[in-house]
Amino acid sequence: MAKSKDTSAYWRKLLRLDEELPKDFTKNLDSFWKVFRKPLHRAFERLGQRDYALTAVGLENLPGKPPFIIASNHASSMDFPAIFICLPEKYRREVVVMYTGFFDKLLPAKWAIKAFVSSFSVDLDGNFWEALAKSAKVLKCKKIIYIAPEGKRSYDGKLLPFKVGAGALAVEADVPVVPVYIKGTFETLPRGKFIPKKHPIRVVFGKPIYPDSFIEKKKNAAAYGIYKEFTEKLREEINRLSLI
Amino acid sequence: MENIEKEIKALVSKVVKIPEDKIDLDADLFKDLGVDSLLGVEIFAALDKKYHIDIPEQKLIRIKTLNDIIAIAEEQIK
Repeated sequence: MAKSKDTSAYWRKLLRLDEELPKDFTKNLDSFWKVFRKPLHRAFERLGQRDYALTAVGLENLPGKPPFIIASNHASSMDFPAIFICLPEKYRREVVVMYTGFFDKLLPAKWAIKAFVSSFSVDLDGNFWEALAKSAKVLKCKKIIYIAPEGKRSYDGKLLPFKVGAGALAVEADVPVVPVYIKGTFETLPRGKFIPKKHPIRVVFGKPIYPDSFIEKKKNAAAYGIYKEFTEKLREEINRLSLI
Repeated sequence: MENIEKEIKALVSKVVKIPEDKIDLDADLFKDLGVDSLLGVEIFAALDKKYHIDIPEQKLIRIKTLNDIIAIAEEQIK
């Protein structure tokens, strides 16, 4: 019998997928500032309508129940808040986002993030698998994790290459990924700008990509190649949504 | 030990898709060979699969060259 080429055992170990969840894991995603969450969301909804004519297309494509991943292009710091505000309330409650550990030192920024959404901090400069492992835990808790597979904001509004971590997370945690294209945030608040300009923002939710066929293929292939294939499919889909 | 060197070089060459003769043992995997951090993990995953060389998470961040990988492999084989 041919020897399996599957290298995913090591990836699973790094993602700590087979470890038990710490009891207080979900509790630590929120803080006291959660009490301001609903009024803050209402304020963002009003702002979205008034200044950005915020519209969402394809919300019916969201899977009925978490866990799943929402993955979008990344052109601006406004991407996540705009996508989040487009989600129906039942999904908002389940969304978790990661933020750079730098904000843990800037307390008002940390409080604002914690008031807006369930979240955790990661050191994005070094230990990238720590970010993936924490994201895997969020999915194990049957939540929704938001990721930007480009890993950083685009310089010109065009899609950057995607990092393979998105594919590794989806395939190993066996969860679908909802591709999202967000249009207008680059014009609103690009890299290097700090005051947002009024400009229409449109969020397009695509059909989820399920990892089943990739999990099957992985049995006889090096894991990285399969994660890459999944990530490329996701990028193609987000690119296609940009034309809608 | 020379064998380990050869075998690991061959394995890395296969994973990163760079001919063996273009890989210097002291070359920086990330800066010189253009390996990104996730492809780096696949190198360690392949080592784990083929030789059961388990590189602990804490050491991953310190590995920069093929020689670093060979040193860990030799240490574990001993």
